[in-house]
Amino acid sequence: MPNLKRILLAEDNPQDVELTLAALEDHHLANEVVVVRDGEEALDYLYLRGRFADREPGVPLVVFLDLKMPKVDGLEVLKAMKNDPALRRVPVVMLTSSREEKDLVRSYELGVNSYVVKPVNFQQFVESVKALGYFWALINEPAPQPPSQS
Amino acid sequence: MTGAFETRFRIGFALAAVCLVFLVLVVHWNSTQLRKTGLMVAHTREVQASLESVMTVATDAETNLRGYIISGAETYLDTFSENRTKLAQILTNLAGLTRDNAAQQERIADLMILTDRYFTNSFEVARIVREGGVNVIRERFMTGGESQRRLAIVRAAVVEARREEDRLLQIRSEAAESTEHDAVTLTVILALAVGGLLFGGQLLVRRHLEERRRSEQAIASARAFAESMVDSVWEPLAVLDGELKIQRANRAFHETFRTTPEEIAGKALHEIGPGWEVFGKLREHIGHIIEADVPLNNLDVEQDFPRVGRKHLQVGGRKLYRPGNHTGMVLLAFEDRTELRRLERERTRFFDISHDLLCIADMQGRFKMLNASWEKTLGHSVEEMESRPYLDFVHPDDQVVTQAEADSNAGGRASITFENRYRCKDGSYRWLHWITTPQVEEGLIYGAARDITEHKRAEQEIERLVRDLRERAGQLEAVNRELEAFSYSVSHDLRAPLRHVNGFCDLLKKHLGDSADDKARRYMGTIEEASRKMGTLIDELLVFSRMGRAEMQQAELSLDELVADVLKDFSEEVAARNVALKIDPLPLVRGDRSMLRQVFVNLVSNALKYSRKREHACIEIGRIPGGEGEAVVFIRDNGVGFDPTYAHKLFGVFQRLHRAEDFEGTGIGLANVRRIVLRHGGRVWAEGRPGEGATFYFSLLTPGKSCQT
Repeated sequence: MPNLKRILLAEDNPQDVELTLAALEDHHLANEVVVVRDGEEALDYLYLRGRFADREPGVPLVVFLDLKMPKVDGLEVLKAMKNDPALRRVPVVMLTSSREEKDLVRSYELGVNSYVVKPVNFQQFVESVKALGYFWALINEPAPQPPSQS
Repeated sequence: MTGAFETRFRIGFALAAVCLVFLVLVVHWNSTQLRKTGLMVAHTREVQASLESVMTVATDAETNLRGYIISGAETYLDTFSENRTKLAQILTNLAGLTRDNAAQQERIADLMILTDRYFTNSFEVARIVREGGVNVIRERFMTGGESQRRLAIVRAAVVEARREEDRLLQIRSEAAESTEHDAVTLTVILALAVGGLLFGGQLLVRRHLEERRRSEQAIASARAFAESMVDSVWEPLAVLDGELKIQRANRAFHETFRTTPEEIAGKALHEIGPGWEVFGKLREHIGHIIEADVPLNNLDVEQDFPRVGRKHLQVGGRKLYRPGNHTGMVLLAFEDRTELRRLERERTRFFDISHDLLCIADMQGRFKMLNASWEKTLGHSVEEMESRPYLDFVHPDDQVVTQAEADSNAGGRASITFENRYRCKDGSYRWLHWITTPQVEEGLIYGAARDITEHKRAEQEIERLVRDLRERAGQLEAVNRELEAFSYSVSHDLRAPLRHVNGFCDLLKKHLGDSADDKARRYMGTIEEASRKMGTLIDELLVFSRMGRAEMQQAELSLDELVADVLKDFSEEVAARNVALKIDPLPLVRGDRSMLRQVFVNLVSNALKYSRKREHACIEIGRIPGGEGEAVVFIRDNGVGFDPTYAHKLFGVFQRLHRAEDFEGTGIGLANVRRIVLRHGGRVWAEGRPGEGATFYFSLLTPGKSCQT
């Protein structure tokens, strides 16, 4: 699976995408990222639908989800993944601006693996994203995936 | 009983009378018989005596004859002649006496002939003698017994006649005896019968007397009973004659009017005394009662009587009957309704004094009785309301439910919550709230209605206010939601561009690298600093907003523990700056731990911040006495203090009393403190002077009381 990207990033804001990719670049992980711009696309990618119908099969090592996105938001994507036995073991990180307690509670209830509030300060942001990418994509041992669909 | 007795008595009397008459008759007959028999015997004895005289005279005549014969004396012969006459008389008499007896007549006739013959012969003899032929005669007479023979014949005839008479006497004596015996027997029998009858009669009479005594006793006791009944009647009763004269009055009469039998004796009812004249009007009624025999019913009399005061009486009269006797009497009954009237008046007064609309209605939909409140409340006169079905006065929209409620009442169910509208005289409507008690047996509904129009109006006003309030609460909620959305977007959407500003500034700095001059570097530094500050501001604002909205987790907690925990956060700074901390024992309070923690964090950090410039900073935490159920805690520092003129601005959002370059800060910390303390039902205030430090006070509720706002 040489072409399978290790990170799925769902983020509707292009500046955030750019900053996130800039931060990941420090670990040379930028090329390992698939960027989708809303929740629907994220699900399309995960379920090989729409424009991702022909992509290489398999699941990413980690999914970075923005909370607020058009059409289908991050929580809905999280819920769908954690309700699907085939995707349940894929780690999900909420990468969001919201410090709202209810968002935190809801995310953890749905089984999120990590919740990170994007710091306003860019240096801190870069540190955070770098650490996340490093940890989930490089350090963490992924769970064995159930027999592949398809 | 009496009839039977009388019949028996009459029969007995008749029997006795008959017996007596019979007895008298028998005695009379008997005595007549006895007299008759006695006469017969006497007659017989007279005949016998006459016969005896015949013999005596005849013997005397013989003697005289013999005397003449012997003596020749003429006197003898004269006597002898007299004898003859005498004998003839006797015989004639005898013939008369024995007229009823033919045999004796015959014998008497024979005897007359014989005596006649005897005397004829004797006169012959005497003639012979006178002529001298005494010897012859003597001879013949004496020797031959001639005269004796003749006399013997006479004697024999007399004896025979006597024998006949003796026989007759015998017969008659026996008959008389027998008659007497029979009479005695009969008399005895009759006397016994009369005696028996008398005895029976006496028994009968005695029994009758006994019975009469008993029945008289019974009558007397019945009379006494009746009298006591009349006397024990509660109602005053009086018997009057046609002139209203009192014949009798019962005890209740005297008790009611406090009169005595003596003082009313012989008086007419309207003449008893003052006040009584009112009964004069009974005169016309009395006539009517007696003559037409029409009872007098319920004549109302209200009058002051001197001894008993005002009385309300209802007088009834009825003609009195006594069997077979038209007495012309009237029995008057006086019903004393004074108390009843008083109660009635009392009831009416209570009835009319009530604010509520009281009524009695029948089951046919009409009012029977209404109190004065009705007219006062609705304006219709009572007569008007009673003259029409009450539904006519009910609001058209309420008539169906009113009818249904009335039907339910008629079924015996009481109303307690029913409400309807009644029309007033002026056309407006009043709301009435009903309490009713139906009396099904009486066919009546007792009702009390309360005019709740004002109440209703107020209720409607309250309802309107509540509606408004709800609307406003809804609006507020919407505003709150908006605010929430706003703070959410502040949290999320405002932070993103800030991050971008900061991020791209950093990228620009990297991009320019050494080619950036000092000015560019300073600008970029300012941009970074400004965005960072704004980020802090947004974060604190979010906390503030959360403190206002978050749900409180009330619990009893120790402020000692809480303060110790909070101070751990500042231990580094405290140690570094050599700050003197003085912590007094603190009370137990009720509240949300995380919120109260925020209060102490803010106040302690303020105290540290504003005492930063002191060489020997001193922070004191303690308590002062508070009100009932209240704990007052203070935090004092010896920092820069504040101008009390602006004390009221201390707790406002974004209000600062110090310049930012002197003391950093957002102006939200104390606003947060105030918000949390207020939500706990407490107060917060501060004291201070410039350069003399500041003291912040806040109160909380002690356990046992709770408040949630």
